[in-house]
Amino acid sequence: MSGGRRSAAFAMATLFVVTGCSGGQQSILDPAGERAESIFGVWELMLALGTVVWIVVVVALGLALVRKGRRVDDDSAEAAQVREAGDGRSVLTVLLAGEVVTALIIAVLVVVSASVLRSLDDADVPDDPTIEIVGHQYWWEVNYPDQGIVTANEIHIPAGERVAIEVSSDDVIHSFWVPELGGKIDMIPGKSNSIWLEAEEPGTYWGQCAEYCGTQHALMRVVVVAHDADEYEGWLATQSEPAPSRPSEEESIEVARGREVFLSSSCVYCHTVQGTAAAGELGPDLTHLASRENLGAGILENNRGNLAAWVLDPQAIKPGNLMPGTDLEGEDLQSLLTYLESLE
Amino acid sequence: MTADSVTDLDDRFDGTWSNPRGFRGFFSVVQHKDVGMRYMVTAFVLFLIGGVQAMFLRVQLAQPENDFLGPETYNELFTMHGTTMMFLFAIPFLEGLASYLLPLMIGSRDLPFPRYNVFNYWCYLLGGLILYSSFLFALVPDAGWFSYVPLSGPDFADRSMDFWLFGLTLAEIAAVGAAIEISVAILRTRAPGMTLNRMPIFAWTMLAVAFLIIVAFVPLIVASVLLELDRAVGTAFFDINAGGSPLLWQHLFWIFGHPEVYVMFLPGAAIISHVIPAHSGRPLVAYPLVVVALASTAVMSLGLWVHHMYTTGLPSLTMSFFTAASMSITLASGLQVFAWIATLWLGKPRFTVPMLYSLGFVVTFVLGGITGVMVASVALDTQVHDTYFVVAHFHYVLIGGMLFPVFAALHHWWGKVTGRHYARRPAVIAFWLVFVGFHVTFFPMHLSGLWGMPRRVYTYEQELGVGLVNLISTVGAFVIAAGVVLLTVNLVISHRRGAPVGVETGDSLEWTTSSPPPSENWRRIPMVTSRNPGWDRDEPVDADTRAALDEAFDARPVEFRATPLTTVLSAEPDGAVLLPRSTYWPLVTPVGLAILAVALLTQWYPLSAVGVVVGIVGLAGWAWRNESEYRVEHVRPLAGRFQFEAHGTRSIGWWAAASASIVIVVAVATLTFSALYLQVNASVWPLEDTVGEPVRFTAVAAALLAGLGVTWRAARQGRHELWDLSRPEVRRAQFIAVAVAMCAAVIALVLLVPLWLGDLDPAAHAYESSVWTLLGAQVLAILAALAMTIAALHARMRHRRDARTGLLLHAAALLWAAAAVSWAMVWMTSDLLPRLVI
Repeated sequence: MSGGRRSAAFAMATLFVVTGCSGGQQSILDPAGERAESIFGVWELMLALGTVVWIVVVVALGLALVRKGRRVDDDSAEAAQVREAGDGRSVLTVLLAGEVVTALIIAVLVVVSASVLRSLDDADVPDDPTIEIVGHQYWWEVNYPDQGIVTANEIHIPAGERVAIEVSSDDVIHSFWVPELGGKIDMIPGKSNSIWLEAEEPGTYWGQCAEYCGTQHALMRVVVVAHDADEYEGWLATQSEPAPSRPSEEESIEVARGREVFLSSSCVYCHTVQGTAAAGELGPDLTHLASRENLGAGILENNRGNLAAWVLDPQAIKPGNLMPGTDLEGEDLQSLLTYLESLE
Repeated sequence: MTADSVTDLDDRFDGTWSNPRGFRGFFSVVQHKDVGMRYMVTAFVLFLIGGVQAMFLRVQLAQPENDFLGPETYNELFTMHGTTMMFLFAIPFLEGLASYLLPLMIGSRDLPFPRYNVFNYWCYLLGGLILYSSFLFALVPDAGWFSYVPLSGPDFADRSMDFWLFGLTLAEIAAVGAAIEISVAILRTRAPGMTLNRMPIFAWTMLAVAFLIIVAFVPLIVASVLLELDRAVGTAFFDINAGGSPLLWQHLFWIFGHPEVYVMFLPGAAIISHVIPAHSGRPLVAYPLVVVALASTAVMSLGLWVHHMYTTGLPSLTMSFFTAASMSITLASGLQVFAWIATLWLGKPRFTVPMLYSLGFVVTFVLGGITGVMVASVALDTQVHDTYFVVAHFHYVLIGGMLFPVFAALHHWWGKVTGRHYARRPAVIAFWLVFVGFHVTFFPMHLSGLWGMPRRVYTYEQELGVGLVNLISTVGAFVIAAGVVLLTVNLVISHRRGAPVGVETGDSLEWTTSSPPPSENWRRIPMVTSRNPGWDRDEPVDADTRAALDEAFDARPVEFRATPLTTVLSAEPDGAVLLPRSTYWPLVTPVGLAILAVALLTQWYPLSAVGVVVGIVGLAGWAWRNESEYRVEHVRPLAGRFQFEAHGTRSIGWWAAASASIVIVVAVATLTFSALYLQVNASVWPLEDTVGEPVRFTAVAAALLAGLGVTWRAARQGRHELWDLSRPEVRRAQFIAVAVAMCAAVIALVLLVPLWLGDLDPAAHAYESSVWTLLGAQVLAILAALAMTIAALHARMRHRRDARTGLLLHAAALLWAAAAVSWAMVWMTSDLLPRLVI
């Protein structure tokens, strides 16, 4: 029987090695910022201690099973004596020693865990930028109150800085989680929670909703984009601009026509494009839609084909999300797409 | 005495203990082995159903962006899988096992309240049927097994949540009832000589578990009622716009939910504490320490719930406290692991099928415990919380810690229960399939979690990089399924065709009776002289007691069923309990409750009146039948020493009434906690609108104290009377006490009901919601005291004896005390504290 267990253990070890310690987009084991790294330190300590403890227990169990010392029949006088004698002092000593060792390990882990938590709590976090994120069923509203920027599903931050993030929810409980940057924080209606994140290097960090929030919980993805300082300032500047509200000289007739299609369709009941009459609040703000990398809360690459598919039948792509499809056709659809693609 | 008359007496004894079979038997049998078996079979069927649901989930997740199931179906199935396994399999199966085994292990002929036992079974079965009927209406609950609000609240969930709430509440009522049954059985019906320090570990454990269920399951019932009120009446407990809080649900749910984990694990550990000694021929090492460990686990488990809420934004200091508490519980579990290993070390282990499952349990559970320590750390938990790492962790703990022991138990006691051997080879193969399949399924889930896969997702994208590990998990799940099918088929076949078992030995008492045990368990009630009565079958030194016991209980009494009562600590004979035979009455009230649930589900409210009437008729008929069994010729003391239901704590009724009082107090305390929690956490609380009726409230308090006082005093008056005696002055005093108490109840109700149903608008604000609900609960508490008082009146009119009435008055007094304590809490919460805050 031990052969079977050994081969199972071997298979598990192989699994670890073959697949490596880095998963894909959003592995806890690939920390890319201060917060995630200090938690990763706790993980490494626990993994090491836990592995040792497990091996010790299993080896002790194995030794107890194969021990040749006391091979007596159940009914023998010796067995009866053992029963009557009760537990020897040495046995109890071993048990209590085991308890002491366990208690010491626990004490170490409690202290390490609490001190890491405390250092995360006590860290100095600048007020600016403070990003407010509001959870909605299956997408993220992202606000930069100081700059008056409203965007969705993509959080842009400066790299190498701690960024204060405040979260809440507009409907049910969600949880904001970007594993490579840090742990999760629940987004609870009627309550504001805060966390700070830091990304050491510029780059794209994936995350997703971590509290079951309904039909499309699975496809409620989010992405954090960390920029170096200049790039970040540039991004802020672009995003602060409203979209042009009326035809200007540079823009094509197609864009102007698309804007008319947009403003005269049901889109405006749910979506805002700042600078135009569209001021719906149920869906993501589209003022700078074309500047985003993804559509549908991180599930489609933002290109014309995907945009068309999403606008026509979002339920086919993300069944159960709250956006109805449209029945635009031909030129109207093409103009609308061109317009949406112009919102940079 | 001639041989003929002995045979005649034996026949009459057997006739008394025989149960009706067939259709009639199915609905009327109350005997603990039949009911326990029914619990286990029902729970096992639901386990197979929950397992099939899991297979669907695993197929969907086998590859990224799979479209085998749509998101809605997936969400329904994972909700039903978790709900079924937790509420309809794990807890009921263990209750069934306890129902079957405990009387055998502690040497009694039945549980102390067999009708209540079957009542609980019917509640459980009907609750399960209501939950599963949601499939017929395509209204399958889909808010997850912990049903967080607001997703499960009136704004976001359709009627499917009502199926969940009503079905589970019925099942939880059954669990609380089973806890009362189990604790009274263990405390009062142990065989003479089975002192506390000789009690089998399983009995100790079930006592701790019963305590946990009473303290922790009642809050879940209360939480479910609050959520249903929010949904149906429009109260605002969880409504942020009117002073409610979604976090209240999480607190209440996890105050239940964490102890529940130990309600499942502790019996698992207890099974191991029996299997390992029995299969290595050595008593459990460090028995006293193991008892301390399991008792402290039970107590500590009540203080860990916040570790399910680390990401909700609570203060760090609070959370670090819960980290320390959660990790410390490892010490208690660790001690048990050390004790098992030491027992194996000192004994001679045989690799039987139960032993294989026990070893699989240790290997698996220890790993689950280690990941448990990991997730107890707040810092680490903020990363792995709600990911597949946690899914892996709790399946290691629950399958490793509860299912493996249950499989060990099935094989360990199979011969005892069925009288037949199972086939060993398929059983061993099934073990390896289950064990290897388990680790292939769940070990990779640690990885998928660490790689960023949240739980409760119906799909994941290719880029997440968890496709391979998920595919491995799915393959493993099919291996487990094959093992479970093989195990089931093997046991079913052996049930029909297995070879009869010979003499088997285990350390505990059940091994001293035949396999399968006769209906009465023991023709001759055993006496216990050691901790391992299965091995040490010496005749007891106390020959007097042995002789007295034989005179009363050696194939006796023949006219009616009875078992001895013993004292709580030292298990000395202390009386006898009359046990009921088959009856339909316990089925009536659960049907009434189910009708009530259906009426509320369909919102066809006239039907709810039918439900209430059927429920009350059921209780009344049950009480009527109960009294009619106590005919005077049946209850003269057996053999002079075994008096039936002596006064006060010597009767089992006292213990049941005390448990019911505790349940009432815990329920009102939970409501109080909820109201205060909302008050403390709300930004605005309408202090100026407090109820503020000091005269009325004082009058209610006075009425309740009057009811308590008169019933208590009258109960004490009847206490020294013999069973067949009645004295006019006692009779008169009892009538007066009943009349005064009934008046007190009516006065209290007249004062409270108009206030409750008057100006309060439960939908306006959480304050009014809580006052409204507290007053409603208080009305129910008073009705319970009134009902018990009426039962005492009924007994007074039917019997010529004073003692029986005294007994029921004592029970009524306990319920009056509960009503008074509740009132103190209700008054404080609805009126005094809001005033003090001003």
